[in-house]
Amino acid sequence: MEIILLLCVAILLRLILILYGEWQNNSMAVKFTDIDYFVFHDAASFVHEGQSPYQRATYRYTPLLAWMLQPNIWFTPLFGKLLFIFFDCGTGYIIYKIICTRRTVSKTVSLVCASVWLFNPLSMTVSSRGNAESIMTCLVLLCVQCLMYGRTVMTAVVFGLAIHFKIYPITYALPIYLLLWCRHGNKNNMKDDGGVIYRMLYPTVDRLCFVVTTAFIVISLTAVFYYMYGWEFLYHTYLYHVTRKDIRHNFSPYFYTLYLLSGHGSSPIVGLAAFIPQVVLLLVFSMKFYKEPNLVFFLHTFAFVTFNKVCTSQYFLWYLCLLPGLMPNLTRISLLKASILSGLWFGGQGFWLLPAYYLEFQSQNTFLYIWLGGLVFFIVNCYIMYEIIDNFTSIPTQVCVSEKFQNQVRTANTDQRMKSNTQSLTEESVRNRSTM
Amino acid sequence: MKWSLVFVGLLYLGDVDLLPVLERKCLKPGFHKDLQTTIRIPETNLEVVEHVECFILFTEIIPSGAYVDPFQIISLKPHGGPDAIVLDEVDTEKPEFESKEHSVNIFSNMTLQDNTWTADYNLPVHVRYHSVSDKLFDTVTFTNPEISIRCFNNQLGTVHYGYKGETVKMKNDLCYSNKKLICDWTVIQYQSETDSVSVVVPVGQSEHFMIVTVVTIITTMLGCIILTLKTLYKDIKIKES
Repeated sequence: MEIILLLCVAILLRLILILYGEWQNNSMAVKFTDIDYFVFHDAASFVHEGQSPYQRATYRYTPLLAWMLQPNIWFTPLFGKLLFIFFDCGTGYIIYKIICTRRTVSKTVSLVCASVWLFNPLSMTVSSRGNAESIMTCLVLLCVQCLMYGRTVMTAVVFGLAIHFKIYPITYALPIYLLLWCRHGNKNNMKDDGGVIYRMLYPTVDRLCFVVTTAFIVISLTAVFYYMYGWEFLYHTYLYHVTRKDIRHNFSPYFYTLYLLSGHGSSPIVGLAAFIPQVVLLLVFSMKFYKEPNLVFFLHTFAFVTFNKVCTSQYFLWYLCLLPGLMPNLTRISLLKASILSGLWFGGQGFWLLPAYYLEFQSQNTFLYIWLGGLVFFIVNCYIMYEIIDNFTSIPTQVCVSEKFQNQVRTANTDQRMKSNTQSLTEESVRNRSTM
Repeated sequence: MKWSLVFVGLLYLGDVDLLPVLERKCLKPGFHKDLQTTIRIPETNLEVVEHVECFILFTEIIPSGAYVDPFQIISLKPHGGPDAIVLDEVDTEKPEFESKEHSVNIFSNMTLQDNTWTADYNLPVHVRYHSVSDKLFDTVTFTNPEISIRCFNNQLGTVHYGYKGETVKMKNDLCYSNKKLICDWTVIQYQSETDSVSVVVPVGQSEHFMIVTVVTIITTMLGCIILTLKTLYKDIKIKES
């Protein structure tokens, strides 16, 4: 009941923000609505007219999004924002459900952690401004939830959809594949025979089911949209994000190097130097933490964004959505330390934002300071990752046991309880009879 | 000889006074600017009779170092933004050295005030990233626009050739920003204090390359090594209660 109340308040606050945004849009020079929302809206208009959404420059998303926003054209231009706040609050609800699966965590803690997302000014503003990241946060968390509930096919469907929407969750494929070993053979007794390599690669039924379903979802969506919109769809939805080379200032520590290299072709050494740490960390995190999907997804995304060649503030939500679900595992971090870490995270951004403001809005040459700011923010992010790894404690869940198996256990327990009840009843009746 | 030239020049000034005057400024520091342009045409230059309405067309050539965002133009129009149309394809994300110049047509009505017809606009322009250099700044130069006029007799439904000032040529161009109709425009002569407006753009300095690259790679590699070791030696404890 309480979670419903929290969700209602969270939706109400977001609706108020949308209305405020309308007022600001109409009365101030600086618009409240995210610039990307206009892009989605324009793309939806093109689709409505029977044209390709990619006729809108800088539309780099799946056509599904433009389709989903069709009511923007014939119902209300606010429809997209309403949809995004629905996904945003859905994310909060899934966080609650994920934490509820932990055996030793109270309901109050689950509600507090969900509130961290539901009443977070950042997530509230992002979805109310019309940024579509809430679709991704919802899909990624749904994927974690399905994994925890042991629903392999559902996990694969959601995972395939997530990859189709934004390519970055593809890095979760390895830890999911590794985790699915737990459901191989005797579910209570995880066999470790055959060594690490055998365990890593052996294609169990669950694993095959996951791979085939994910591939089916991604390939079929890609094929349909390729047939409809051709090369433009492939380029803007997938390839652009993989090959993105943006030399304009961003949070990445590599930004200034890449800018200084621009116009002289790309340097393979720098490209490799940026790529290796990402791959190494993704592999190491997958091997070590695959049994903790929330942690491994969080570290994957955090490391991927931190070590990426392009890093903008909208990427931060990709890992922030996974943090509330981790909070019960991080109780070894004191409140003071958590506040310091948060302060460092915001401070690091501020350290970058100040010179970036002077460059972009005052035409001052602050490239070196922006790079230093990016480097400080990078170090802060690494430190936060370090602390999270250091202080993480596992809380037993039903992760490695499929729901079917859980049901079997539950049924078995109930049967046993019923049997013992019947037995005691019989004994009682015998006793009663004898006394009679 | 010299004095006779000055004399002829002074005689010519009589006509120069009749030339419309262009005022142009680039407002706002930073990468996002407003190109503010005003043309003032002496009332005597224009023969406007009843039912005749005149329009001005400014044709801007935006250099490769900057761009006008066509979608921003569309979104600003209902809020009093310029009635403009970007004529070429624009990539708003590319740097200067991968971009081309593009044309923008801006349409404007004229208002009569103090014996002068005036037309103006504020065009939002964005400066692109430029090549790295040894200097701290590069320059983007916006040349003055070509200015044309056309008048129309609403009652007769015919073109009215009422401009009496100095002209350059006649040309065919779009009548409006939102209709694909072609009209006759008279390109007019005007005077301006300068031929162009220049703005500075900060650029990366090539001398930073070595230090920035080395420090970045060392930092990221160290970050990766520390996190890898921490992960490998992490003993995952189980919280029971």
